[in-house]
Amino acid sequence: MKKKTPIGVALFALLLLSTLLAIPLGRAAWYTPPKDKLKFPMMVLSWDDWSVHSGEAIAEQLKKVGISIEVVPTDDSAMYPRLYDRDYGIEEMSYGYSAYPSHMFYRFHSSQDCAQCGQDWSFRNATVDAVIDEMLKTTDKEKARELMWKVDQMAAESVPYVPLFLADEYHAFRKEWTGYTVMPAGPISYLNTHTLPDIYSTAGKKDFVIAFNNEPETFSPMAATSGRALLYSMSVYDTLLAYDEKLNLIPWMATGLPEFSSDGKTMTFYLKPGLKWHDGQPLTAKDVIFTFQYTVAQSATGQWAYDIIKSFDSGEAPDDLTAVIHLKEPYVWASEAFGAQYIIPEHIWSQTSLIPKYDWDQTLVESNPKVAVGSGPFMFSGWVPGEYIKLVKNPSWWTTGHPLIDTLIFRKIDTESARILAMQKGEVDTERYSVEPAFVEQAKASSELVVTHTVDQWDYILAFNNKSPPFDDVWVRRAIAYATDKDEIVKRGALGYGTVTPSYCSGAFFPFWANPNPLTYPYDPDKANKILDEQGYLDIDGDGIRELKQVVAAYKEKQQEQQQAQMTQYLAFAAIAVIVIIVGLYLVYRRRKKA
Amino acid sequence: MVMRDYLLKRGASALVTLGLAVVLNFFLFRIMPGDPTRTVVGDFRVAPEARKILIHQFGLDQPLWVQFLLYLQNLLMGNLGVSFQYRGTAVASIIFGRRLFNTFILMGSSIAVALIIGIVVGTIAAWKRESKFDVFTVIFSLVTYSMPVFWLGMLIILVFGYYLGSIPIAGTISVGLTYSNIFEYAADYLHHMTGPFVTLTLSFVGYYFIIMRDSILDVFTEDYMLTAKAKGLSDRKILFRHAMRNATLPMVSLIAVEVTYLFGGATMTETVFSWYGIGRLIYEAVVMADYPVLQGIFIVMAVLVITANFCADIAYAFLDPRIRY
Repeated sequence: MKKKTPIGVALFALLLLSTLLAIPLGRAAWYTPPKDKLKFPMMVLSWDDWSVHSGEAIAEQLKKVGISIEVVPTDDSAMYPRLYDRDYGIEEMSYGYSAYPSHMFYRFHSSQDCAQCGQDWSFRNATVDAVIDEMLKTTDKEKARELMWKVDQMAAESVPYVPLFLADEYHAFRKEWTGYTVMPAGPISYLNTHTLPDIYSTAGKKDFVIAFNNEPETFSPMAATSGRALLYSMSVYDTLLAYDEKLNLIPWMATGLPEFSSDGKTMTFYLKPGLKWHDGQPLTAKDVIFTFQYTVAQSATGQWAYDIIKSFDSGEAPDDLTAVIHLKEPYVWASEAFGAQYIIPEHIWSQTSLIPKYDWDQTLVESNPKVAVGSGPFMFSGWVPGEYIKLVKNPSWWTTGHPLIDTLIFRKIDTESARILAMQKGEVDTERYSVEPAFVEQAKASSELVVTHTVDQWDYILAFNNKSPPFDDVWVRRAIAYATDKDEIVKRGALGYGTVTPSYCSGAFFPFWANPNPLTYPYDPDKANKILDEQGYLDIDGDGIRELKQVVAAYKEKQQEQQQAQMTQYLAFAAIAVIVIIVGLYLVYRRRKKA
Repeated sequence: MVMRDYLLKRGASALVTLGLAVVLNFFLFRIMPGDPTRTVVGDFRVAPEARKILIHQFGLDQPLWVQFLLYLQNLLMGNLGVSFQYRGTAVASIIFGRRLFNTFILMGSSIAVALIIGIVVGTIAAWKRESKFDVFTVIFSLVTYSMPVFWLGMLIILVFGYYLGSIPIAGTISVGLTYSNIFEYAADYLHHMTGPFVTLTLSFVGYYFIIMRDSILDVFTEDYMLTAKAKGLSDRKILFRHAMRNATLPMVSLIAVEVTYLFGGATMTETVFSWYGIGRLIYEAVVMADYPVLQGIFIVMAVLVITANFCADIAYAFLDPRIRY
């Protein structure tokens, strides 16, 4: 035993060291730009069938124009780090739209070209930046819209990514339910504040059960980023503004849209009278101002928090129904950002002994239900961890007579097949998400269910790393845009359950903001071939894959040199032959002369 | 005297293994590729300053050895850290809550019942070797053992949950359940447990059955079995007092290994039946890169396995007088 100890220690140390040595191995770069051909790996999200199958369709289409793509299904844990480090050449997956088209800033501004920022494609263009900066400061929505169309046009000329399609939203309800509102992103989504207060059952059932695949990860509206946490937040809390079916802003707790000063730096909200918290306390403008101050002070990470933190300078409540907000700069979506934040009660959240930070421990609602007080259509009633969350209707909600149901239950059911069965059996009335593509036909064919259809917020795109050759060549990007058949991609990638996006801001989702005359790249493989030929990407070795411009140019140069060398050889031979003939003729002539 | 030495040696080696597990547990998650801060700061619109604050909150900006010391310190105080995914909620409360209870009850009962059935039926089948009973039970075991667990579970849900309506489709208790005493609650809970319990028991029983049967057949070749028969003991006495006792020894080691399974082995079943348990937690934590939860689970599992193995060693020492070293 004594003899074995140093060896044991050595082995142990070696084991530890080996784990540390593996760290640099794990951080090695995955992607190297191609050296000779137009041949690259393309990342797609492995768990998202649509991303994978769309990627396969794209690979086949690009093969026809001489570009070879290898589809690499990648897991989240590897995909995102590579995107952040720009360790890729081309990728295809979906990015989300929010309620207002702030993505036109996040996806195209140079300031967002950084790790974990808004864009993953290294796109930098000073002219585009200037237009975007101006658009962000324009409080007049019509003028801002024209500037956005300019951004869309410039983006289309430069093609930092190819927009493909918006996923479809199919929502299944038990047929006895009615009153829900169908709008972009579906009848049950955080954009849609109308469905839950308006829905009712023609069979007289008073509790509405929604199935989730997982619980909300937080009950704090300040920390809510996932769809399920936001759905909880919007049931229990209220916002100043909301959206109608066309995604236009409408007043919600406010009496109207906010008033702006002439310089656009002061906005004033007027609250409806008689608003109350679930514990009976009145909701005043003080709570509104407190909410925004809290967001900034705590650097909250909720959905709109960043926009608020960027713009909010100070605020005051001259009276109970008036909230005045001072912005650092005029901001085009100030109404949207401030109007979308869930208002929290000052008399509860200012007690830091009770709520120390914005992402508080979930189990607090069990030990102290006061933390769940909001002003929304439903009140927190009970929670069995891992099973269900029970909300009851708020009898003093500001829309009298609503909600029309007595109880709202969020129920955790892990698999889609179990959720569909539960809906058909009647244990559950709907589910939180769009029906998964594999189940859409079954849901439609079921006699107990009704399926709604609209456009979802998932925007599938084919993105390039604009700094990585050959994707730094705009003609390559344009050629690929022409070479992709978006209709076929929808058919193969999304089983037909998608809407093609012609521009960078889809009109199907944002009817007000979309560019009416976008610059598009209709499917034209001949044009794609022509562009690549003209730009010098030719297939030299006849394997069906085009070589890179530099390789072709180098090859051509070599060929020219060879030709020149040959020419020189021929000339040399010709010269020698001529000299020999002349000398020969001269000699013959001399001989003749002698004789 | 010899027994005490044996126990001390075993105990010391258990402690060393535990220490190793604690160290490896920490470093293992740090060498994985990928950014642990992704879950924490998942929203891309978070300002870089806010991200720095969050990273500091979770202590991810400290050098590695400092993080390790903090980790050890917290571990000794029973603080397993704060979850990345369930923001703000302590890992200890996530693990040592309803999930652990649900998984233990489900797995514990399924393994126990499967063990008992496997042992008893395995013994009888070995005795009645080559008979119709033997052939039928072997085929049944192989079929149920090879079936994918989730498929069996989904089938049970479809037939008994949807078409016949005799078991619920999901969950551990009924929604909005009101009960006046613990028995009503238990009845509802057990009703919900029927589906996953049957699925798991069916999937385990084949394994124990075959091993037990083989073990008994091995024992039949021993000399003392011939002696017992020669002594004129009844069939039942030979079978249950001599054969089964000796054949059960390998099962003891098996049970020690099953303890890990007790903790995290029912992931698929838990998903299919929406049974709120640890298996499902492990899966979610892996997908969401929730390192503190994974670390917490691994440490608890390590402690459990090491303890179970230690107990198995002691049990062996008592059961088998030949074991002494």
